[in-house]
This record gives sequence, C-alpha cells and structure tokens, in this order.
Amino acid sequence: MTAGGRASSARTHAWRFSTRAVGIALLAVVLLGVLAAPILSTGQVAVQHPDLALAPPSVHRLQLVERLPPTYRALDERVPLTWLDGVVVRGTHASTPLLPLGGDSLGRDVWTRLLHGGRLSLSLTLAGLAGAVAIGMVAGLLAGSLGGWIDTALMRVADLFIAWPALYVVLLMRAAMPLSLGFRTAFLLMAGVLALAGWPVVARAVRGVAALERTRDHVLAARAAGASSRWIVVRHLLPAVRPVVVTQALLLVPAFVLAEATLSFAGFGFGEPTPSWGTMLREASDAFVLRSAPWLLAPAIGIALVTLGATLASDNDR
Amino acid sequence: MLRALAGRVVFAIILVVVAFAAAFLVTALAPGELSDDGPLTHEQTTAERARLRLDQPVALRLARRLAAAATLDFGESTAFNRPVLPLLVERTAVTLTAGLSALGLAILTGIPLGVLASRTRHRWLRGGIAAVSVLLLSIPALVVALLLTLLGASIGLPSFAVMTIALALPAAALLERLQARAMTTAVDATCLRAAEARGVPRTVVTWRHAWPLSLSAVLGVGSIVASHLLSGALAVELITTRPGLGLLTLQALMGRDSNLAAACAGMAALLVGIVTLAGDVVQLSIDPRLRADDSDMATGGFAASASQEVRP
Repeated sequence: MTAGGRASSARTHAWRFSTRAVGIALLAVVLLGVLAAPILSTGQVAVQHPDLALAPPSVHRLQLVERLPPTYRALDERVPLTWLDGVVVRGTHASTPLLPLGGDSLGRDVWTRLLHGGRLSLSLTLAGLAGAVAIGMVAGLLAGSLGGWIDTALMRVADLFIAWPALYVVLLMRAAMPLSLGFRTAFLLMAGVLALAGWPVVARAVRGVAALERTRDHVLAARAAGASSRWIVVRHLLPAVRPVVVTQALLLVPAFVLAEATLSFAGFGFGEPTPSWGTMLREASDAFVLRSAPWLLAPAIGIALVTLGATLASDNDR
Repeated sequence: MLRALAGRVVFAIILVVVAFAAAFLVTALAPGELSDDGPLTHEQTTAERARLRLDQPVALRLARRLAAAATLDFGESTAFNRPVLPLLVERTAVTLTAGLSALGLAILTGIPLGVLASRTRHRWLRGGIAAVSVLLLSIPALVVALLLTLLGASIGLPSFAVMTIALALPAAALLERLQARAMTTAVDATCLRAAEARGVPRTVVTWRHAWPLSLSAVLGVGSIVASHLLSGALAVELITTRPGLGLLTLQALMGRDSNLAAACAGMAALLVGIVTLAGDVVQLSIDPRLRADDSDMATGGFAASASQEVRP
C-alpha cells in the first residue's frame, strides 16, 4: 500500500468512528429521554381534554373556534405553569394543560404519550432482542462448534426464516394468538414473537464466525492440549463472536421497532389507552386528520431517530 | 452453478410449501372461530362447520388442503365468500404493479448513483450520496408512506404513487450502498489497474469492465431486496389501504380464514423465490466465471453472506 492509500484508510477510519459516535449518541438521547419519561412528561397518558382535540402546540391558552377542521384561537393569556413540582414542568390547572407537542384527537398530551409510548416500544424491542440474541447465540454456537447434521439442520431452519419477508413472519406468529390480550401477556407474547423472528439472523452470523474460529491454530492447539469443548466455547469462541453479535443486535433494533409499530398499527398490539409508537401512529393514518395536526407524526420521528441511530452505530470496520 | 441453481429451485419450493402449511396451521389452530358470532342458530353453525370441514382434525384438513393446492385448487375464502385463487391473483396484481415499479425505480436510481458514488473524484459528492442513502435506509417505508400521505393530501398524490415512492426510496438506498461497495472492490482488481495504466478511459473502465464485475454482488441480494419490498408493501398497504397482498394477508389472519391465509403466505414466499431466482439467472448469464466454477454458491451459505452485505 502506498502512503496515500494509508492516509485515506486512516481518514475512512476517522469517519467511521465519528458516524458510530453519532449513532450511539442518538440512541443515548432517545433512551435517556424515554427513561426520564416520568420527569419529562407534562401530563397523564390517558387524560382527555375534549376542548383541546387536535390542538396545536402553544404556550397560550386556546379557544376552540371550529371543530371540523379543528381551528383554535390563541387567547392573549399564557397557560399557567408549575415548574419542578415532581415533573420539570406542567400546566398548573387540570383544565389548562400544557401540550408541548399538541393534542391528539381525544385531546391527550402527545408529548407525554410519545415519551411513555417510546418506553413501551423500546422495552419491547430490548426484550425481543435479548431473546433473539440468546436463542441465536446458542443455535449459532451449537451449529458452528459441532458441525455435521446439527449444523445443516439448524442453518436450513434459519434460512427458511430469513428468506421470508420479516413482517409476514411476525404477523403470522402474532395472529396465532388471541386477538385481545392483557397488557402483560401481550408484552410477553410480542417479545417472544420478535425473538422467534430475529434469532436466525444472529444464529447465521454467530455460526459463520464460530465455524471459522474453530479451525484456527490457537483453538486447535487448545484442543490438542486437552481443552474441553466447554472451555473452547467459553474461552475462544464466545469472545470471537461478541462483536458480530453486537452488530447483528444493532441491525435488529430498527426491524423490531418497526415490527412493533406495524403490529400495533394493524391492531395486533396493545389496547388503548396504553400508548406505544405503533398505536399512536394509527391516528396519523387519516390524511384529513394528519393535515390539520401534523404533530401526530411525532412517533414516526421517534422511530426514524432510533433506526438512524442503530444503523449508524452498527457501521463497523470491516 | 447449474446444480446450485437447481438447489435454489428446490429451496424455493420448500419455502413455498412450508409457508403455505405454516399459515394454514396457524390460522386453523388460532383461537376464535368463524361461526362463533353472527345470528346463526346452533344447528346452522354445526351444519356450516360440517360444510367447511371444520369439524375434522387439523392434520387431515392440512393434508387435504395441500393435496388440493397441488392441483391449483385453493378452496374458498370464508371471509370473502368467494374462491381464493381469483381473489389472490387480483390482490397480488395490485401489490405487484406498485412493487415492480418501485423495484424498477430503485434499480434505475440506486445502481447509477452507487457507481457514481464509488467512482467520482469529488469527495463531497461521494459523501453526500452516502449520507442521503444512510438516511433513507434508516427511515422505514411505513414512515415515508405517512409523510407522503401528508404531502399527498395537499397536492393530490394517488395511493399508487405514494406506495411506489415509499417502497422505492429505501430499496434504492440499499442498492446504492451495495453497488458502491461492490464497485470499490471491483476496481481494485489487477486487470482493471492494468487497463487504467494502459490509458483506457475512466468511463470505459467503469462501465464496460468494472460494472459487470461488481454486479454479481448486487444481484446476489435479490432475495433480501424482494423481502424488504414485500415487508414494506405490507406496511404501506396498511396506511394507504390499497387492497394488495399485504392487506389481504392481514384480513385473512384476522378473519381466521385459513385457506386464504395459506394461499397469501405461499404467494409471498413464491414472489421472494422468483425474484431470487431471477437474480441468479441474470448473474449466471452475465458472469462467465460462474458457469465454469461450481463451488461458489451453496444453497444456504449465500443467504448469510447476503445478509452480511446489507449494511450501509
């Protein structure tokens, strides 16, 4: 390689590093915001304000002029605010709430619902991810370290899952269950569905690395020195597959967030009034409503931010 | 290579059959019955169940359904009260017109932009294309469709356009990234360095020599692009309520219509299989190395390398 080539690869490296940092920072901001939901929220997720249906974000008090399309007049009077009373800020009186991101069609606080919805969507994603990584690692390590017919069988099954459009897999598995469920059951079932849909991706990648690593000299040496299979898996294969697992998990994040959104959007998700990004987006699907209240797209921005963050963060050096 | 291709065909057939059977079983075993609600008396319900053979064991129904499907008889849809096949063909056509337009649009924009991003001498252009692609890859079709619906409501965009654009944008970005990476790898080949050293013009090197070399890496992910498109189509159909395959699948699943659900799932698998095979055949016809060398493409291994590639 020439000196110029080396310099350019160093530059690529720096660019890679910075995109990764940006991605991780994006994910961190969203996660922190969602974790701090009880402090940052300005109201309750389920409290309705019929006079403020589809109200725009405003620090002034609003008066309903026309219901269809929703038209408001800003009064010459600010919403009375209470600062740092359990939450950072909220409207002082229950009848005059602060709506930093406007109201939905029932006059509920979109900002509060966005934070709490993100909490649900992201914890579901993480739960699904934990399951997918656990199953995928076990299957991948089994296939990669044992080889033979177990390898072939496991990987063929994984291929069948991967070849199918992911949303169809998730939808089909979710459809096998009762349509309306309690919150806990729905959460566990949906996490399970995501894990079942996601494990083959992890397993394939883990298997590839493990199978390659198994033939490396240091592993052969360890085996010749009498190391047990368990030792080899724990000391040699696990450390080798870790970066791959992290990358694959990051790549699954967008898919899972989107799967939750689509399932909830289709009515297979959580019931009202529990907000999730998918259930919130249902309101945004009506073009007429959306036109008079574009802030209903807030969950879509949340989804896009998480997706972008995960995509950038998974941009590893190859 | 021909052997590998045959392997792919077998894999695709297995995929279709498994998808068909799985969807049938899932809907047949799911809680909730077709005749649970409605104003029917108990006798009518029993008669209806007998007519639809719902009183028979699931395994027997599955075997019958598979045997009938082999003769292209997909039975009747209980949710729509009409034969499954015409319904399926009708709805698939709706998805296919938008899906294929999106695929065409994605190929026509993504491939040239990928080549450009890899071969341009302007760093800002390369960086700009890469940034836009990563951004587009990160915004799922569901979100794009919602934004376009908002836009479409004000300027009167038909749902066909919304769906095509929403599907094409992420697919184009994916193809652009793959093409750019494949191109960068391809121009590193010794033969191309030699050509450039001998003074072959840059455009000729790019399009005549490097591009065909790089194409196999792009065509290899046909299945990934196809399943992305189908998943995206499902999401977009939900939003635009265009009556396509995705929406039909959803209706079948919600209506516990096992004949229809099975046919829909089988059709989705079939579409992915066809696009994958088409990619392989094009690859085979443009890359003479593949015809000579038989060791390159094992049926399964390729899916892994392909899924590895889908990384911006």
